[in-house]
Amino acid sequence: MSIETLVGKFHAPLYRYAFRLTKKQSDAEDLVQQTFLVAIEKLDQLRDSTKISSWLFAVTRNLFLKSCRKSRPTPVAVLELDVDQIPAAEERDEIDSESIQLALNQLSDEYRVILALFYFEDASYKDIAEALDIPIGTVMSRLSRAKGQLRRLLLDRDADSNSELADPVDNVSDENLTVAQTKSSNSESRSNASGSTPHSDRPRNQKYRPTP
Amino acid sequence: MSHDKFPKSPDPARRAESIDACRSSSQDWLDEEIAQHVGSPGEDETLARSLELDEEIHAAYQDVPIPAGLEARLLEKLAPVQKNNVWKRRALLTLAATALVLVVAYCFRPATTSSTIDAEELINKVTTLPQSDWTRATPAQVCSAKLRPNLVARRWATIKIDGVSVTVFEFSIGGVTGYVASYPTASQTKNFPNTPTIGTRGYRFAESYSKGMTHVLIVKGGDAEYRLFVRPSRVT
Repeated sequence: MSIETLVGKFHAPLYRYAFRLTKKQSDAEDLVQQTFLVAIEKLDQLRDSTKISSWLFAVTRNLFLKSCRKSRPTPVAVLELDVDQIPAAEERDEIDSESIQLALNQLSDEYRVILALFYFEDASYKDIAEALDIPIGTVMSRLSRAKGQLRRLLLDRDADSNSELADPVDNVSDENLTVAQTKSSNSESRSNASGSTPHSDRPRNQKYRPTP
Repeated sequence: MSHDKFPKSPDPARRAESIDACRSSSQDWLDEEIAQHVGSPGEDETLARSLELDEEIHAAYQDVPIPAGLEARLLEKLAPVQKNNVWKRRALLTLAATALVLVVAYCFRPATTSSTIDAEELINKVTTLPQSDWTRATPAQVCSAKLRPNLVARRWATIKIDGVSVTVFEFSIGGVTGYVASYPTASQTKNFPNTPTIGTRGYRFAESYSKGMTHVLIVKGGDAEYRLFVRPSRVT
């Protein structure tokens, strides 16, 4: 397969995947470029051509994880919204691309990777265990925690205040800075009024309970 | 706010993890491990809500606008790399082919060639062999080198030069002593020349090849003495 065909076919899904991982357009573009560089080098080693797509995603993910080990600081943990606290669809706001990104920006690299596998690659917990080379039990607990944090950031209106305090502003992408700042300024008064604090060391079993 | 109508599992943490492991796109709740803690979406309201939310997240997650001109930018940056890569591959292929040729050539190289045994060393070893190393030759022991007809070896010995086993036959004709040292070599054929190739330290020296053997004729004396041992009709 020529590089033109490869880029033409896969640049869009790879960019979407990379953007959800890296949080920034420029980083996502770099990551996609690096992925194609690896593809140019090693594509002929791929025996099953029907697996090009998943192979490219795996390359992107591995390159991202490698870059995480080099430089990225781990953000302070965000509280979780337990699965039995999910409100019915009619009781919650609509979730869109931007709100997802704002929430992802506040999660650790580790959680963003497992969520990318679950939501983007539609991987089962067993596939995730294989892709990340970690035990199934670890996948289940990590996935549950990541989804719990994402849910809280997406669904709980008070979550913004805690998470904005927990996450440094420079973790927010340039594209989303305006939105993040607006949300932050709106939520700070609520945060102070409710007395919420970022409980970074809260034990796993102490789930967040939304205020009535 | 719990709305569990299907509290199947006694372990809430495992149940939460199992629900979170279920994807909206496939029936993961039927998975053996998960089914211990979770019902089907029809009977398990918590699972149903989780799947519903996941579907929404999944759709929003994939919704990322592609920056304008991304494909062109990528191709622009990747084209020179690909060109370099093609050259690199060609160079590697050439290198690999050269290496293969060298390996094949090495594997099929002649076992030993005459050049591996130094003439001086051979003459020195043959002419200074102690008497005890020699064995009287019997009529059955015939030197396979093509010499003057009816020339019969007096005695023979075996010596080692650079790990190569060399058989030496001693001949005498008209009071002149000559030796033929034979050892395995490449399969080429050449008879002894009428004129010796080398003359050194009062000896004449020449090589012949036949049937995978190199024969070195060493004769004490000059060209005339040398010719006593070789077939006069052969001119090479």
